[in-house]
Amino acid sequence: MAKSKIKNNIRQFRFENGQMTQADLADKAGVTRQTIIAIEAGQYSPSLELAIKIARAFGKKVDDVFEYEE
Amino acid sequence: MNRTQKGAWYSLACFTILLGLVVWWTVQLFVMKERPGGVSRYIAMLGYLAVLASGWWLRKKQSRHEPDADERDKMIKKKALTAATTSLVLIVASLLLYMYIALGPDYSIPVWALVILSFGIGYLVLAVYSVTVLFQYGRGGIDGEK
Repeated sequence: MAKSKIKNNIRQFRFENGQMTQADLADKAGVTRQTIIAIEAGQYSPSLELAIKIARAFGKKVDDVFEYEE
Repeated sequence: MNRTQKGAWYSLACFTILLGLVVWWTVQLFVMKERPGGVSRYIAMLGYLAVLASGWWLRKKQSRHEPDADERDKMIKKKALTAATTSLVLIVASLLLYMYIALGPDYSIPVWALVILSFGIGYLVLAVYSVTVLFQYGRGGIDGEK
């Protein structure tokens, strides 16, 4: 899959949140681990709903976790 | 591996086992001029048992909270379905064209051949679906824990 223009700081926030694993984040966001891997690698752009769930898992705003690169 | 990937591998395994057996039995019937049996019968039985035994593996989740399919899985399945449908149209059209050219417009085929052809096309389309699913997951989907 093509790289998305949406960049994210998921990896950084996972480590700031007590070395949270991708599996832990997947459980919190209600998706599979493979989807978190794809989002983190920039291979998949999540829906707004999923982006909010991921941001909430870190206690952050969507803007803090995701950014659109022009 | 999530459930969608496991399902795709499962279908692909079924297709491969079946293809192997069909090739082996065809060789026995038309090249070796003998009725299929012996070793291939045991291989078929073992393959069938292996497929049955792997049923629990399909249902096993990566974690307790893992959904059956999330938004990305659904998107992947949708694209794979489009690829499978397109392949179905192409395969049927090519087959009909081939039969028309090779056998002629007034030729008739036995009903059993039609049944085998239908099953063959079905399995081929299922294989296209599975390969498309696995291709879309890519390498990162199998192990990518960082």
